[in-house]
Amino acid sequence: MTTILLSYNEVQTLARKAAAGAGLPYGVAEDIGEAAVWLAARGVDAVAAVVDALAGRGPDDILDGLADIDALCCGGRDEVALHGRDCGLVLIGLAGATAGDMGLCLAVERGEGAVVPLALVEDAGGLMPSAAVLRLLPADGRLARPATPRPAASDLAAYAAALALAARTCVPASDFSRAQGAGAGTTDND
Amino acid sequence: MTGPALDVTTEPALALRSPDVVMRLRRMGASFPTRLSFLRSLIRHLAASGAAVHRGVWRMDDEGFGEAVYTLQLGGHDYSLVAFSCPLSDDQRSDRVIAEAWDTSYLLYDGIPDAAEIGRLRANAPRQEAGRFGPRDLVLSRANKSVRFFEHVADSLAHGRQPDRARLGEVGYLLRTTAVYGNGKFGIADRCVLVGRGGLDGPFQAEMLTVWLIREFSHDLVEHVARCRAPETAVPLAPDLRRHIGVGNSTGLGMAPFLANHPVLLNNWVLARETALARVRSKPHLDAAALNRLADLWRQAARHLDQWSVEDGALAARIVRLRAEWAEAVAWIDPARLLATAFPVAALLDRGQFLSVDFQELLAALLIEMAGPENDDLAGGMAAVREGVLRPGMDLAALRALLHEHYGWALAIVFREPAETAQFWYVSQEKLEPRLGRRGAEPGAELELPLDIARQAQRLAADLAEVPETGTVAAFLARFPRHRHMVRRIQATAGAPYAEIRDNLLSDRCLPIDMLRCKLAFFGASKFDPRSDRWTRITLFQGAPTAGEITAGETDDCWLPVLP
Repeated sequence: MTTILLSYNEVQTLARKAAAGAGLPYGVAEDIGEAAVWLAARGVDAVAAVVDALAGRGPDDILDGLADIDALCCGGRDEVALHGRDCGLVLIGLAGATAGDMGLCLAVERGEGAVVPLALVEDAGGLMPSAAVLRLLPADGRLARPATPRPAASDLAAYAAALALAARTCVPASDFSRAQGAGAGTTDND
Repeated sequence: MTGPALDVTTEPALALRSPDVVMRLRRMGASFPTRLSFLRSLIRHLAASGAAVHRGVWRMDDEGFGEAVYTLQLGGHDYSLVAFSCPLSDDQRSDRVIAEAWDTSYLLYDGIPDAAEIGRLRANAPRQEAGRFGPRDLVLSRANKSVRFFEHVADSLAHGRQPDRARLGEVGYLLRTTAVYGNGKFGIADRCVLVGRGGLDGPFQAEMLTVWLIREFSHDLVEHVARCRAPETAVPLAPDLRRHIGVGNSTGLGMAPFLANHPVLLNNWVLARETALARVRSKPHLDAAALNRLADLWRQAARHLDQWSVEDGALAARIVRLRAEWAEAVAWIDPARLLATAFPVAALLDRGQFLSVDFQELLAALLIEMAGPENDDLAGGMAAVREGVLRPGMDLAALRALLHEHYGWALAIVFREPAETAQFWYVSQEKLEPRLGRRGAEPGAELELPLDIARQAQRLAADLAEVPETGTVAAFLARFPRHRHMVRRIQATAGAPYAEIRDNLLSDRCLPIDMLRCKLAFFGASKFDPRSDRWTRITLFQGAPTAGEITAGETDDCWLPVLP
């Protein structure tokens, strides 16, 4: 597998744009960007995870899952099912980023019953496929593990797929837009 | 140092200007640099740390093509500007982002690069966006020569003469940057690397350091070319002229959406400036020293205005009016009168309300300058860690109240008028840069960027009106996920009075140049020179201390440069 080393800003921006290109509302795409950063800081090829999650009816699944996480965070539900959801890893990223932002203790409960607070996760990819549900636990004051200095490497094919999704949000250039859209000057040899 | 954003509740009752006044495009487009501008903060950090610049590498041919490395230590870290100078034909020289080659290119490097690292950067920096960079690369930039002026200076120095002062005053720089990239672009280090690093953790400090070192390189480069042409007769730049040569910059639309996309950051910038102004305004008296300072700065501003010439007709007319108002209002600062006036700064500001917006903003910048270091603490609160966090548990009554309290300006816009949606913002596929199009006349409106803040506020209000107030944001967004961005924004900006540009960015009256000038003034730019309503040239660090002078700190020329 050929990989590319991105910065966190690149991971976030590309994930956000890919999500928008896949048809998700901008505010949701912003959250996908944050989720990608959270995953990339915990050993996951976040670009590939987002591209996978956006395939098929992925955008609808993400919307449903994000709504469930919102409800979980404010006591509107007790758990969020992960098992069987193709976007499960991205939902974990969304929950991880949300937990950090809101100071909540969100945790993954595995099929065998083990509960792993997201703040303590080092290898988010390792949570799958046994992750069963997300739960909200009482805050325990434990400090979150620091993020890795650079994101996990991205598969070049997934990177290209994300760029293709992101390109859907761009407008092809024309002679008119080149001349007018940026207010171009005529000469810079002064 | 990065501190928390200012908590206005801990300040005594300061009379901050209303966001409805401050955050209008027309006024933002009249911004002047202040003591809180980012290049000023950098100069103070450099001076306080006794920064010494060491030119460790200088490999240039007689034409001035080659490479150089400048290193300094700041906050216990070494930083190096790695500079490359290459031949460039005139037909390739473009300030536009679509250019593919430049006269010079740069990397601000975290540490001191060895030969292998310089080799890596040599293979990538001249390619700019087409290159690939890594975690030790902090800022990527490039600059083109101001061809005729560079040649004039090189030729003058080679013949043992100083450059023509009038020409120097007219241009003001040898090199003009066309992009200064930070925060992870093209693989360079993320901004979080700089958190906690003394001297560089404030907004755009690494970028400002890069530009300051580019300026040093430009001085050295022109002197080098002159020496190589005529070793027997060449002279160096006179110190006062050297100081007056800054770095030019061409800035286009790419910068404009930044302010709309970073509302909390924008708030922190403006809140710091407005708090500084309010503190000065609240002074019950000015002593003789302050009045002398006021008079000195007034003269400084008058001379600066006299030396500020532009081709743009609209701005030229504004400058003419501003010069006249400034000259007439000098009577206001008569010491005898101001000494006897209670709250003299407030009196000056109130009188200014009857003159142009340009006058009002220059006066505000001057009064902040007059106060000197007493407001420097505010610079520490100008960064923003996060733009906003969604609070899904908020009840809809609270959200609706926030919307009506802080977005009344948006709800008042009549979007059924075609003029209010005449323009749309989009990203060009060619260089992935923001552009502005005319709706109906250009394709791509269906892909417009969400910079329609006011329209989003109205659409949210309409949908909120259809649901019971007893629900939560979480339930509302489950039904209306398209409002997620706007809801988060409203929640985030509730405590950030200056977060929103209180104008419609889709309107046919929206001039991007106003956003550009606002942002560039916060950088510390002067000599705004618009080339259209959507791109401008500016000068940075003109009048600022050079590397050899930095330990002496700031002068009044750091605020508004004046040709000596």
